[in-house]
Amino acid sequence: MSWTFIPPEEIAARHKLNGAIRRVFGRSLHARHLDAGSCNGCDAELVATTNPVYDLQRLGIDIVASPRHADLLLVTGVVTRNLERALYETIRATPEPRIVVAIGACACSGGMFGESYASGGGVDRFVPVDVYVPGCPPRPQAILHGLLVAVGRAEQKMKAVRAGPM
Amino acid sequence: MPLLQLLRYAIAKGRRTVRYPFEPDAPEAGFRGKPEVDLERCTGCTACAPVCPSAAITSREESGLRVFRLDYALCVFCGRCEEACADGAIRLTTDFELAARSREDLRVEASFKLFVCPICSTVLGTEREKPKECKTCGWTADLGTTAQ
Repeated sequence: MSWTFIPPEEIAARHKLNGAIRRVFGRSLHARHLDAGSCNGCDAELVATTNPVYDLQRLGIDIVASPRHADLLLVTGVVTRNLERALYETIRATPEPRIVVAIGACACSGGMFGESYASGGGVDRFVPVDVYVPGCPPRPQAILHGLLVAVGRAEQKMKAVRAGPM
Repeated sequence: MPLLQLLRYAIAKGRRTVRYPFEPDAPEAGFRGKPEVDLERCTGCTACAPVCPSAAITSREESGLRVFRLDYALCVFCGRCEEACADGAIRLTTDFELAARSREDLRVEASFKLFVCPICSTVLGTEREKPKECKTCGWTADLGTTAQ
């Protein structure tokens, strides 16, 4: 039955990662995907992370349906003029301390579209971004790597919140 | 018995989920990942800058230096810089783990000393390129670099 076999090192590594997520959030990590005017390339890769091949849930990370349930926002796309307000309202709906992850070249910097009358030129022009995941589009593995970087960033933010108001 | 066939197929195929964060993942051959610049081989000609479709590679000239900059946040991993590079200094690797916490971590910068024509002081290129002649005043490399 080799098809169900998971090597013990991997199980130990999974426990370590789940322990880190639980220590930071006290539960599993919930992410919300926000499309801020992307070409759907990054969105397709993001959907692929939840399929049986990449299986995001095995790491204790889940994509939820509302920003009010989320600890983390995954933003794709240059922030277009029409979706600028949607970005601000989603950010306002996400409880603090929130992590904003920019996925793809467009969200990181504007990418191919740059900055124009309709294109905002990157998420960090509008809201502070914690983790950048470059790629056009990034592979599902690259998105997983970005989420793991975000868990480390969340640990720092939570410590700052628990230490008291700034 | 389609269900039995399906079960047999699933058992024969085995586990399909990648082990990625716990084990390194090797992308398929031909995967276009992080472009890396070998600064030992790069002459600073910046032939890669005008072909870059998203202006991830830029060059500017300031105080006798040509500053080359590669921004991974803008890069779309098309590989045109690799095609344009005559010295084989810029190469696309299969590295995809590029996530960073700041834009500064995603930048590569290098500066090259400019070569100025010894007679008419026109910028001819960088010192590493070793320019042979000046089209403005007709200076050639066999005349030497000392000003007349």
